[in-house]
Amino acid sequence: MKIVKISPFIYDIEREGDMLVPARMFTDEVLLERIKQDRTIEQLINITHLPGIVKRALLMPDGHQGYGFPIGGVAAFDVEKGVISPGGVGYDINCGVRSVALSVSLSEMKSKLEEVMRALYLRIPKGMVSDAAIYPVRGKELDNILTCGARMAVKKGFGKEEDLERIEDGGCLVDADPSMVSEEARERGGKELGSLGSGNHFLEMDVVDEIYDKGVAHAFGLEEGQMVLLVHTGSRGLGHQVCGDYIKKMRSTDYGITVPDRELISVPILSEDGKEYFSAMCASANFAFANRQIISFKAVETIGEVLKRNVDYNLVYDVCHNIAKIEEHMVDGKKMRLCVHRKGATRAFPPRHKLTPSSFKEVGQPVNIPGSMGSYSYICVGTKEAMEESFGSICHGAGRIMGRRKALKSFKKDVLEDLEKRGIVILSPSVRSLLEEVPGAYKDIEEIISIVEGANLAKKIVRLRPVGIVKG
Amino acid sequence: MDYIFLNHTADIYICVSGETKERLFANAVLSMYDIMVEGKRRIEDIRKLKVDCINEEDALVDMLNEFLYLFYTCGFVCVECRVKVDEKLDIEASGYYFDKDKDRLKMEIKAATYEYLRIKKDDKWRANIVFDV
Repeated sequence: MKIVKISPFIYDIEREGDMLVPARMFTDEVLLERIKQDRTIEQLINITHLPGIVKRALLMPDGHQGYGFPIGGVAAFDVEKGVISPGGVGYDINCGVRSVALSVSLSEMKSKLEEVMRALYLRIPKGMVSDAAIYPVRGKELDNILTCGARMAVKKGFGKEEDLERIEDGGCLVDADPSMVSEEARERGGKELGSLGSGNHFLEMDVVDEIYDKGVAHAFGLEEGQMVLLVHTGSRGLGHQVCGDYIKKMRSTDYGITVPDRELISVPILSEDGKEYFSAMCASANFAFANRQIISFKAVETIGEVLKRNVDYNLVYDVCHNIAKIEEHMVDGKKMRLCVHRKGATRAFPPRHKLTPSSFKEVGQPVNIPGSMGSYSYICVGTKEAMEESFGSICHGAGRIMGRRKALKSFKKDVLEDLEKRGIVILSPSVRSLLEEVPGAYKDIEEIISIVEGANLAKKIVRLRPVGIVKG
Repeated sequence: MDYIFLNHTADIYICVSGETKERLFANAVLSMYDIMVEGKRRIEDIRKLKVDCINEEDALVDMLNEFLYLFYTCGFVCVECRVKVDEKLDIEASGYYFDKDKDRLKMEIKAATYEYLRIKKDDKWRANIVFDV
C-alpha cells in the first residue's frame, strides 16, 4: 500500500491489486499515524473493491475503525452500474444532528441552567424505553411517520411548518416505502419515537461563543450569546432492525459480487433487492427525522416551562450522518446520478446548490459538527470545492481515538468533575456511559475543523460552547 | 463469564469461548446480556427459539440478533441458555423480564455484526464477535 501526501491535509492511497479506484484521506500527519494503528485504512481500501464506485473512496478527518465502511467513510456509486450496501450506512440509519437557535440568551438562562437541564433530563426519554417515549406509534400512524418523516411530526403538532425547509431533504425522503419495513422493526422501534437512546447520543445546551462570519451567521439566525440546542440521535431500534434484516436478506442473494468483508455485503442499486433496501432505509431515515423533530420540540417547550415564558426558536439545520442518497454530481466533467453513501459523514452543499434550502441559497447549507462531550461544537457551511473533492461531504464530529473499554480504564470521575468546574451541567443515568464519552477518548475537534477548512471542504461560521449536557 | 474484550476503537469486540460448540453458542448469548444488563438473576420464563443454521457463523449472528429483538420488544434477559447445533439452532433460554426499577441497562447494543466474525477450535471453541453500540 502506497500513501502519497498531496497536501498537508490530503493523503492518497494509490490504486493497486483489486482496487477499482484509489482512496483519499482528509487528515494530517499526526492523525494519519493514529488511524494507521487500527483497521481504518484496511476498511477504507475494502470499499474501493465495490462495483460501480466512482472517482475514489474517501475518509473524513474524524474517521476511525467501524464495521464494513470505516466511520467517516464516503463512497459514491454509479446508480446504473453500482451497488448499495447497508454496511455503508450503518445500523443507526439517519443518525444525525439538529441545531436549534433559541430566543434565549446565556444571561437569561444562566441562573436557571441547572433547573432547565434537570427538566430536560426528566422530560426527554433516554436509555432503554419501553413505553416511555414521547410519541409511541403503531399501525397506520407509524406508516405515516415512515412515509412522511418530520412532516408528519409537524402535522401532529410537534413544531412549525417552516422547520421543514431546514431539514435535509425537507425531513422526508420520498422514496420511503413502509411496506418494506418488517413487522419486527416496527414492533422494536415504533414505541421508541421521541427518545434519545444511549451511547454517544445526547441533548446539549450551547451558547454561541464565537462568530467567524457575521453575514452567514446572521443568515443562520445566530448571534453571540444566544442559546442553541443540539440533538444527536437517529432511528432507534427501528433502523437497527431494518439494517440487520436486509443484511440477512442480502446474504441469500447472488449477484456475483465478491466483497472482502461480509459487513460490506452489497446488491445492485437497481435490483429488486437494492430497491427494497433503499425504500426501507428511506423509511427508517424518515423515522429519525421525526424523532429529532419531536425531541427538539419537546425540549423547547420544556425550557419555556422552566423559564416561565414562551420560548421561540428557529431551526438552524438538521443533518443526517449515516445515510445513502441519490444525488447528481459532476465526475470528470460529466453529470452523473450517484448513490452517495455517508457513514459518519455529513452532506455539506454550497451556496446556490439546487438542494440548498432557499433561505440559505446565497450562503450555503449549515453543517452541524459536534465536538466531544464538554468541548466546542461548530456550525460550518459547505463549499464548492467539497462538491468537487468529496461529493459535497465533510466530517460528522470529533471521532473516537480510544475504545470504550479503554476509556473506562483510563479516566476517572475527576474528568467529569473538571467539566462541572467549568460550569457545564452534565446529567446521565450512568456515570459509566459518561466516562466512555470523555473528551480524551475523542480526537481534538479543533484539529478536525482545521483539516476540513485546510482542505477547503467547509468554512467554520460559528463556535458553540456547551453549558449543559444530557447523555443517553 | 467466558469472554474477554478485544481492542476496538468504536464498538465492542469480544472473544467468547466454550468447551463445546453448543456451549460456545450459549456463552455468546450470556456474554451479550452481561455486556448489556445488570440485574438480579432470576428465572421468570423459558423461551424457545429456532434459528436456521446453514452456516454456523451466520447462525451465531442471527441468534444474537434474535435475542436483541426479544430484549428490545419484551425486555427478555437470558440467564441460562442451552443450544443444540444442527440444521437449525434449537435454543432454550431461561431468564427474566427487564424491570427498570430492579435492573439497569449498562450498554445499548444495536446489533451483532459480521465484522471479523470467526468461529475456530483450538483447546476450546472460540468466536470473535463485534457488537455495534
